[in-house]
Parts: sequence; C-alpha cells; structure tokens
Amino acid sequence: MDFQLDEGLAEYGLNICRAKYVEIRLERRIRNDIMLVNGVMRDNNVTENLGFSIRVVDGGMGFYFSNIVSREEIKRGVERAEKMARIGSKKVGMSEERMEEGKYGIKAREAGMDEKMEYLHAMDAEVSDHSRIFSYTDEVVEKLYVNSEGSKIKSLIPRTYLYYLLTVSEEGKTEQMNREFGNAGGWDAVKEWKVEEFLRHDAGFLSDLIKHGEKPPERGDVIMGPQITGLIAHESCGHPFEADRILGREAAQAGKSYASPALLGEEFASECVSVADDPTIPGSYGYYLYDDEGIRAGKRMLIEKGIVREFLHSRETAYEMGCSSNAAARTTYGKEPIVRMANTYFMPGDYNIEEMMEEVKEGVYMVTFMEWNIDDMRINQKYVGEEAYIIKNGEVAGIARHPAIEISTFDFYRKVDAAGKNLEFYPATCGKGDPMQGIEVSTGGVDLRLRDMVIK
Amino acid sequence: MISLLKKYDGYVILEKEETTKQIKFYGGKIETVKEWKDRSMELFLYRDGRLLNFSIENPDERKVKKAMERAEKVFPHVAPSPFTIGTGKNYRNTKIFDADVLLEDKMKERVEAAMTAANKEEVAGVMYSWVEKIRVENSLGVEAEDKNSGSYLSMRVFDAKSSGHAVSCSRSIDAIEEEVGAEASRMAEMGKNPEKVEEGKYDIILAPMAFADIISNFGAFSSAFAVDAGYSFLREKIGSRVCSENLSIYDSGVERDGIFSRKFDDEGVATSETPIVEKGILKNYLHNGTTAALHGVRSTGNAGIVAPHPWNLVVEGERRSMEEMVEEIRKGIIIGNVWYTRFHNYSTGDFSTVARDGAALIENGEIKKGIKGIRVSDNMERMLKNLEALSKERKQIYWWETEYPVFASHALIRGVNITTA
Repeated sequence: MDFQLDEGLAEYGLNICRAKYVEIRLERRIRNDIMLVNGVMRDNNVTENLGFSIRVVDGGMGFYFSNIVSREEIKRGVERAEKMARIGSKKVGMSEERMEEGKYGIKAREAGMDEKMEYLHAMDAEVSDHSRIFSYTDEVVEKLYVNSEGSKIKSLIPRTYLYYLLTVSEEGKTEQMNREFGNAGGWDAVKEWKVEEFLRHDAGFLSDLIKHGEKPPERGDVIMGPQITGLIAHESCGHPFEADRILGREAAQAGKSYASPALLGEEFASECVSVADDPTIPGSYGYYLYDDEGIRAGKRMLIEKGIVREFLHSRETAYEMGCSSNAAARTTYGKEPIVRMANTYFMPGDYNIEEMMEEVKEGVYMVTFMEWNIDDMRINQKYVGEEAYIIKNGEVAGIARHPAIEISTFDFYRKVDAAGKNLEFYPATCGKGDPMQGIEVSTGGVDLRLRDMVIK
Repeated sequence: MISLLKKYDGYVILEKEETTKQIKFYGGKIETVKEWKDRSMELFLYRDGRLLNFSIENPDERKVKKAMERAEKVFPHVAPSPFTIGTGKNYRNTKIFDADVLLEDKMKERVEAAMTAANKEEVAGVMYSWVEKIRVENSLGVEAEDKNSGSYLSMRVFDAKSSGHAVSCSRSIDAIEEEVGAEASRMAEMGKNPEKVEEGKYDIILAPMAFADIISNFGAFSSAFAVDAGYSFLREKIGSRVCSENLSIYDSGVERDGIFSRKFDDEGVATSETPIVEKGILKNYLHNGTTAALHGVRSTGNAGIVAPHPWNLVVEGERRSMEEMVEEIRKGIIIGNVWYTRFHNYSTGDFSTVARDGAALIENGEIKKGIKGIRVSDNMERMLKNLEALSKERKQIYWWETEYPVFASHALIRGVNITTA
C-alpha cells in the first residue's frame, strides 16, 4: 500500500506545541465523481485533497485546518490552535485511554476510466425508457494521526459508491425510487452489487405501482424489511445514543436525544430487539479499525435483548460521562472529530419472512422507502413505503400505495414482536456536525414485525 | 498558464482563497474555536465535446500541469458532455465588504451578548465568519476578481420542554444582532409545556426560520439541473401557476447584505436578480451556461458549472402584520422552525417536514398553548398555492439546515395537512 504522508511534518507540530494535549492529522484524498443524467455525462470530476488539522485542548478546545501543507503553516496552525483553545470558558477534558501505534489499509484495484464508463452506460441502458440519474464515486483516503500522548495511526481506505434515482411516468402519474450501493474497497465490489437486477426490478415495480397500487388498510400488522429497519436502527437508536447529543453539544444543529445516562441498563425494547454498531466489518461502507482519536475499534452493543448497554463515545464525551471511549470519534476531511456511527444494525432473530407473514391476518410489508424524517429528540419518526405490499391472511394480496408509519421511538421498540434471520447492510452518508460532515456508514437491518399499527 | 490552456475548446479556472472562523458554544459556554484556511482551484477543461473537471488544492503551475497530463490520458475514454460557458459582464458590486468579520474578540463579544440576551440556562449555537477572495478566468476572455465577507450567529435555547431558534446574518459583523438570544427565548416561551394535538387540516403560520426552509427547497427545485435530473416538481411549468398570486420569489446575487452575494458566478457571468415566481407564476429556472443552452435561454448567472443554484432567495407578496395574521385564524398552528424536509416524490412535490422549535395552537385569533409532535405532511406546490399573506418584516435566514440564505417573512398558509405520531 502506498502510504505517502510526511510523518516528520506531523512530529514537528507535536514537538513545538506547548499545550496540555495536541493532535495532528494529515490527510490525503483522491476522488473521482461521475454523474450521468438521462444517459448524458454531466460531470466527471477528479479531486485531490491534501491538508492537515490540529486540535488542541488547553482549557477549552482550539481547532485549525489548512490545505497549505508546509512547516511554516504547521507552526502557524499550532500557535493559532493554542490561542483559540484558551478563548472558551467551558473546560474540556479527554478520557484516559491506551495509546497505540498502528497501520492498516485495504488493497484495492482501481478501474480505468473506460471501464467505469462502460459499466455506467450499461446500467443506464437498463432503464433508458425512463428518467434517471446515476452518481458514481470512488476515492482513496490516507490519514496519518499523531497525538501528544503517543498515538500514531496510519490508514489507507478506498471506497466505491453508486447512487441512482429512477422516475417512471405512466398514465400521467410518476413514481420514484432511489438506491445506494457502496463498500470499503475497490472496483471489484461493483459487480457484486448486481445493480442491473435492482434497476430492472424497480422499473417494473414502479410501473405496477402506478397501475395497480391500492390504498393500504388503516390498521394492521406491519412488517418492515431490512432497508427500512436499518434506517430506523441508525436514526432512532444510533443517533440518540451518540453521547455528544446526550450532552447537548449538537443541540443547535443535529439536535438532542431522548436518552440520558439513566437509560443505561434499563429495559427499552422488546426482548427480540438487539442493536449493535461495528466499524470492523470487513468491506463495510463504515469500515475502520482505529477511530480518529487513535482508539482501537470494536463492536459496540447499544441494545442487547431489549436492555440499553452502551452509548457511542469520543474521548471528550467519555471524560464528561466518566467512562472510556469506544472509538466512535470520526472526522471527514478538514473537520473536527465528533461522535459518529459506523455500521449500525438490528441483529438477526429467529424468523424467516414466510413465518412472519403466516401470522398476519391483515397488514402491510414495507420493503423500501423514499420519504422519512424524525424530530430532533429522535422520538417522533415517519417512514413512507415505496415498494410495499398488502398482506391478507398470511399472503401478499396486492401492492400498497405509499403506506406511512408515524410512530414514537418508544412505541416502536416495544412493539416489535418478531425479528428476521436476514441481516442486510445498506450504505449511506450520515450528516452531522457543523460544518456538515457527511460520513460513510451503513445501516443494517432484518425484517421486523410490529402488531396492530396505525397505517396512514 | 493561459498559453497552456489554449489547446482546449473551452476552459474555466475558478480560484478561491478563504479564511473561516467559528465559535461553538453549548450549555451557555464557549467550548471550541476553529479556523480554516483554504486555497483551492476548480479547473474545467473541454475538448472535442468532452468535459473534465479538476479540484486542486493550494494550486500552482506544477499541479495544473499534472491535471492537464491526466486529462490527456483520460479524455479519449470519457463520454461526451454538453458544455457552454455563459456570457454577461455587467458586473454590479454594491454589496457590503467587512474584513472585521474575522476579529475573534468581536465574534466572542457578539456570542456572549446574545447568550446574555437569551437569559436562559440552556443555550447552544455557533457563530461563523468568513472572508474570501475569488478569481475567475475563462476561454471567452473573461478575467475578474471579487472579495466577500459574511457572518452569522445561530442560537437555540431550551426551556419548559420547548425550544426556540433564531439567527442573525450579515456581511458585516456590526450588524450581527444580540437580539437573536431574546428572539429565540420568545419562540421557546410560545411553545412552552407543549401538549399533543389532533392531526388534520389547519391554517398555519410559518415563522421566518420555518418558511425559509421551504423557500430554500423551492429555490433548489428551480435549478434547471434539478428540473432535468428528476429532482423537481417544476418541470414543464414555466408560465404556469405554481404558487399563490400573493407570493413572488426571486434569486439575487447582488443583494447588498446577502451573505451569498457574488459579483460573478463560477463561469464568470455577472450575477443579477432573477425572478423565479412572479405573483404565483413560474417565470424562470436558474441557469448556468450549459443548462441555458440546453433550454434555449440565456444564463441567469447562477453557475455552479455542473449544477446552477440560488445565491440569496427573496420573498415578496401581500403584506399583513403578524397580529392581523393571527387574528384571521379560527383553528390554526404557528410553527417556529422546521427540519428534515424530505420528499416522497421530487417530481410531484409530496413531502413532509418536522416542526422543531416553538409550535403553538391558535384558536379564534389567539395563540393558546404550546404543542408538540407535529409534522407538515403535504404537497409543496399545493401548499404554496394556498399561501395567503406574508408578514411585513423580512429577515435574512441561514443556518445549518437551510441550504441557501432566504430573506423570509412569516407566511400564512391555509388548509395545511398536519400529522402526528
């Protein structure tokens, strides 16, 4: 693997800093974005980033970023960060942790431009009768992290990603479906996505929805598929379990949380519900082995058989709450590390989908979504199904037109009465931080069944 | 550098040098102070119908040459793209510039004054300031420079199971108002001790923070790129009614105190005022040179070279006082702020958005009590067609959730679908 970042520059910054705590991150990123709109290429961008950030804790916190990478600028950055750290009146601390030196990465094959073009045009041709947009990205991110407590971590992570939005218009009506595909890894993952199969399926389904979609029942049992339950795990368990939200640090932006330290150890969900977050899953979109504070990552159990087990922590939030970091501090290029998820998922249960449906007299099965949102305490959530089916007497009995579930988080987690065996992961870009840091995660889910729900 | 670029059929160079500072506070205390130093270049190269775009940091001649070498290798393998550089050099520059926005002492003083004005224990937010120098050069012979400043203070307060949020935005630091603290507190008090409410149709008043979110989304939908890509319900509606006759929306790149105002767009075309909606009728999409050529019109000076976008959005229309608006409502809701505006179908405008700060029930012309757990679940075009009036005051709104600055008022909208969990 081709590690290129200059250790000497980072060590120089550490040596000249007089503050209690300092960390320096050098980052290099090479990225290619391609966008195809209705078969026509509208963007082909190559980005090369090289910059450094310095974070100092000395009373308050100071942060400096520059993409002018030189000794002079590092010196200026250290001086500025030291000065800025002393402006704040809030006392900031960092939890005591084991510092490590580590180096890791993923070897990946990069595709040539002709290979990418051929692939994207082949995907586009699958749905050329419809309005469509494809957005493809590949990137390689190298980071070098050092801090004044002895940590030194090098990483080199490639990622590949594809998004599409498909619009089908018939009989004067339109329906839309979007999907995302992504991995930590190179071009070889692309063929495994089987995007062409999803495109064919979606075009056919949206046409059927326009022609045959029916009003869903107003009340009944609801089964939600892995794409939707993965999003729910992320939005209503992962986000509210981020300790910086619980402490109010994101209150004016991404919001607060229903959770508080008193929730730890409490029964929160039905026994068949367990939620984990694991950055170390090989090839996953949210993959990492050390977080952006140099802490070794592992699987975090957020909810285990209905009981709240742990929140997501950086060193700053762990210090505030008197615990240890669980390596959830992440940063995007040029931004401060903050508490983030990685790959958050409902853990598998005992049911297969046939068994779940068998026991449903009337209800809906929601497979994909378009519209969704949640309040900033992470309590009041809404999901609207796009691919969705009506269930009657244990069998699929038609296509449901846009069934909507609006439910409180507390009701949702208590109402789940069956969890499926079928764990699936979906890539996503999670937004949080100010300035906004869109970071790679995956949302993982299994089929979940909820009894006696209001369906809108 | 220009001689190197002559072999291309078209090119655009956009260089930027920017310093940004931020003060972040929560729990009533300043926690972090940040600074970003950013030198960058966007380089668009066009030859034989093919377009490549390079983003280069801390640019110099060596890096530009490297990008061109890469272009030589890649050009034969990329698919054709449409590319037209817009024209229009009628530069107007009446906008404010204030280099003092970056003075940390002044920023800190504004933050602390606003926290004092809020007079609440739980206060959180952020203050940003920035100064940028930009330079554009293109193959049509345009060379131009511009400099801009901007600042905003965004403050949220919490009290009695309610919250309020207010912002102050300007190109000058002295215009950043400490009043945002008191304004956020008043919004929190309006929604205090909230109760649940029945779902159904309500007449609603969207406060400027909430209305700005809707208009910012509408502005994004007016981009010709969004229209072409399936991200807009405004497709094929030029000349049609898309809003109430009581509402006009225009985009302005030349607004004197608009924090996104620019002398020229990313292609070097002069920015201006572009009517998007006049008295409810859709008049224009926002264009760069390429989308303008594809649609057979002139650029509106809104490049983004890949996708045109608004600069600052301004609303105008039938004006009433806030008091008159409230008096005219028999059964209604006032919403201080919204977030998570999400679309089920971009091409129809079916959407929902979650009330976030200071929501209250209005009955028989009076604000009665705080309410919670509501969301607007409706269609954006239908909703804007039911807009009846705007309040007399207008305020520039920009914060974390609102993509483009909006000079927004309170908006009275009849018969909006409200749902609850």
